[in-house]
Amino acid sequence: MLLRNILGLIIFIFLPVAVQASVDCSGSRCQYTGGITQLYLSSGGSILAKLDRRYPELISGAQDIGVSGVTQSSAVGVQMFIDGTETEKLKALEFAKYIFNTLLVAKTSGRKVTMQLRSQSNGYMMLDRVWLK
Amino acid sequence: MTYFKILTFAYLILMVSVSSAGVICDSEKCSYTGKITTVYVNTSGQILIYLDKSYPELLAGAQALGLSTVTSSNALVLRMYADDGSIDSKRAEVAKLFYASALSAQATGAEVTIQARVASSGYMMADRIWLK
Repeated sequence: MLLRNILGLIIFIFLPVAVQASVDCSGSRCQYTGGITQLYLSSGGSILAKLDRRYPELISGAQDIGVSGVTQSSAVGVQMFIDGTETEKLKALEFAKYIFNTLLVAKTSGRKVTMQLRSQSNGYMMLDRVWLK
Repeated sequence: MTYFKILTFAYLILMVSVSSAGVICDSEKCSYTGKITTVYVNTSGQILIYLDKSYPELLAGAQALGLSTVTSSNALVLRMYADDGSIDSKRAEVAKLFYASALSAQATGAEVTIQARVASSGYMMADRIWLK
């Protein structure tokens, strides 16, 4: 009986930790770990991943790491088409396609991702690497 | 009896909030929210995304937007190539990801919201998608 109570207590303490999504910003990047609730694509090549809730710390954290202009706290993005040299454009496009497929799998299967964010576009933080977990 | 009334009322509210599927058009676009029943693709680069039923309001909305050539009320179109058949590299790249989203939604039964602003060969042309 005592063992069961202790076990219950351990689960009670650790379960919220295990299921909690999070945003933290330090050094040169912000990082989100959690699920993707919606995935958006426009004909202009904008991709947005909606996070599981609003994270005001994404806006304040972006400011702290020197990224200004972030106004969106519940979604992050990737651009398929950017300005730059031909090589830069091509690399951005290829990367966006890989990212999109990764986010699509995360969304469809309900799995978590860790995304790192280092820049801003149209008020959204832009992701530049992703781990599908 | 009061209990029964409350229950009926709650049920009605629930039904209204659950059945969010449908087509809504405003002064710049038509928007469909619901499931995708069928996905079609052909060698001309035409992709069709079939809605869960026919929506006469899609035709009415298209008409109101000045898109009188729209005749299909149960599908939206997506094109891999430019309207004249030439290669449009941006459109081709977006179409691939758009198609992947539609395919995924169809396969998993997930809900989408798709917006359309222009007409193409009798259909409203999809230009944004939210996979929900």
